[in-house]
Amino acid sequence: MSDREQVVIAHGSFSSIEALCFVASLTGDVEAHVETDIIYPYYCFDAECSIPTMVGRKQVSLICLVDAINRMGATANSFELKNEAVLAASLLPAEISGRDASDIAHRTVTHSLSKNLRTISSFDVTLTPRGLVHKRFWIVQSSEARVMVDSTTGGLHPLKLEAA
Amino acid sequence: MSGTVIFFLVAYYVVVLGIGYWAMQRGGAEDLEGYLLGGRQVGPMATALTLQSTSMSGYMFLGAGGLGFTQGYWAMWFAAGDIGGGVLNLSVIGRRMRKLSEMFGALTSIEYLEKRYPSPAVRLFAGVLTVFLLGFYVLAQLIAGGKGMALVTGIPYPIALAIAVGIILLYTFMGGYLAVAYTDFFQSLIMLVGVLWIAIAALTHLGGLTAANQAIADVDPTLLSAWGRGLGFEGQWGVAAGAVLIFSVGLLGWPHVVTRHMAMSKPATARRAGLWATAWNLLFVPTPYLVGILAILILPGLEDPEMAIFEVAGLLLPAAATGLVMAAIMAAIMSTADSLLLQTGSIASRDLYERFINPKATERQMVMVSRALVLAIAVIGYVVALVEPPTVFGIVIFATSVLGSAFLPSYFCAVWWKKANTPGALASMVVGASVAFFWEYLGLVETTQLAPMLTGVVSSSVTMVVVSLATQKISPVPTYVHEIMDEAAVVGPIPKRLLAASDTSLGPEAAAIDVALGRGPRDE
Repeated sequence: MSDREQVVIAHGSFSSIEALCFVASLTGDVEAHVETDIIYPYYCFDAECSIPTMVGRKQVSLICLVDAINRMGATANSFELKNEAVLAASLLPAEISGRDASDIAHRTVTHSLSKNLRTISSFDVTLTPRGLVHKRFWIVQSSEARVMVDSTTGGLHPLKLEAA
Repeated sequence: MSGTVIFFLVAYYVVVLGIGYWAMQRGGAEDLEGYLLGGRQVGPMATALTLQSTSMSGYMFLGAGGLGFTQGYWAMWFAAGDIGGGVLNLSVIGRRMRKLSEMFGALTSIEYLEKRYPSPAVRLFAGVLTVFLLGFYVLAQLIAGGKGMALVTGIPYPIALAIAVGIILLYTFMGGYLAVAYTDFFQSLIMLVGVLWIAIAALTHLGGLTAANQAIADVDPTLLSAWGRGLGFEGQWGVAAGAVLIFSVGLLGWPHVVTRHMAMSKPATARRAGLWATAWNLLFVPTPYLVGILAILILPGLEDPEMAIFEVAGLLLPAAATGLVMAAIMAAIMSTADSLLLQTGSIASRDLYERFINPKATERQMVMVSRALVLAIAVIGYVVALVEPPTVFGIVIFATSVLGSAFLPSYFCAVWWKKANTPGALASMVVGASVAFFWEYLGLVETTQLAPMLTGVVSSSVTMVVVSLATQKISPVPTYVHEIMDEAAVVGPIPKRLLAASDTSLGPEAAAIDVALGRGPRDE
């Protein structure tokens, strides 16, 4: 049985070295090291939205990502995708179905439109599923904290928040 | 009002509309996408000023001025609570609320309550109560808009009210996208400049604050006291405490204000937002009350005290400045009404209609429900505002008292007390709302000398503690709630620079990765 799996993954602009340097610069820990990486699953949807504006309705394209483990949706910037063989041990499995993810995506997009545009209006939202996409998180261990670093944005988060 | 005032008022709106049109034409879909993708990316300054402008506006320009005019420096009790309200709100629940709402996956404040206190009854009661009280609160904005419009244009109040209601409805149904170019942040700055301008003009007119106070003493020295005209509130500490509480802790229970906490870019934003809120409050909050007090001298024969600020502006400012300031005030009123209506419609459609009546409702059906409710509020509000208009001050105090009494313990304990459970929250909401409502309705404040806000918050808080503790065995707090609260609360030795740089939107992923790395169990 192969220990690698082929997945669609978002192109990461932050390498493991950059993640390590970032965390080390923040913690001051020169012995920090990259422990592993985790490949995290999201359902990805292209959303075509028709929005009422002062100059008529406008078509807006959004990307919606639904966390395939935590069931949370968010609109996102566009990103490049590529196929990559990753270690099966690093790959987290999706825990929700594509149908559930679609419902969450629809709700996320309409809520986001209504809230941000501050209007009670009807938005025609058409979702096109792009299937599961993945994002790599670098896990950096320093003497004081274990930190995950998003390989696409460089955003970091301490693990098992021992501080908030 | 002169034609110049109306000209500048109209010009203000034309410019704002023009900016919106230009932005849409120029940027088109790309700009919209960028705007929409902001998601939870709201910075500290914008968070603070948006929070402040949403929670004030109509009341501050009519209610606060009216209170200062009728009661003198007694009104400053309300200002005292209001000044600290913003920072208290952000620091007590803001930071953790942002984090917990994300971890619970809640999009609305009512949904957050149901996730923290799992029961449909919580959502049903909280949703119905909020729709009712926010509808009431919108009434204050409609009356404020109608009165302002009548004064600015000189047309009769019934027609001015109809125009104001119509504009607010149009703005809510079709014009929300103006928010792209025309935000609460901008509103709050204009409100601040406008009210300071009026105050400076009034003080200059009266020869300074000392001279004004001496003149007020000649009119009625009790207006300079902390106990109101004729010392009517002398020794009534329960009423004074209620006045301080209403806009300090009372603000913590407003669902539409709580929603703002859920939109901050990161919990640490709350800290810096608190500083901005306090700075803005120090400058803005006491000023309308002060202008109302100064109006005692400037407009001694004023028939409607709630028009004090409008009338002072019309009398003392140059016509062009009056037009701009009036426009800013009207825009602020509309902006608040718009936010409230949107929130009310959203709760009615998503938290009530979809959740309890039609779980398979389409987005179009929910929009219809939202619009129907907003229309109903507008029609009822128009009739009430026309037939027997209550004071803006009275409405705001009533709605804030009941909202704060009902929800304060539930929101507070949702982030700070792990033993707070569903029966405790439900009982607290019912008791708090009932006590505050009947205290006001039965006029018990006269006989007990205790404000509804004070009795409401005390009774709902005691109920929350007693019922939660008494029902721990039959209704324990779910394990996953404990775990989420633990994760949000534990403080350890992680370097501050690391914490400051953390992207908390990655919290849910961090929890799942923790499980995968074998650092802890996760409850489904």
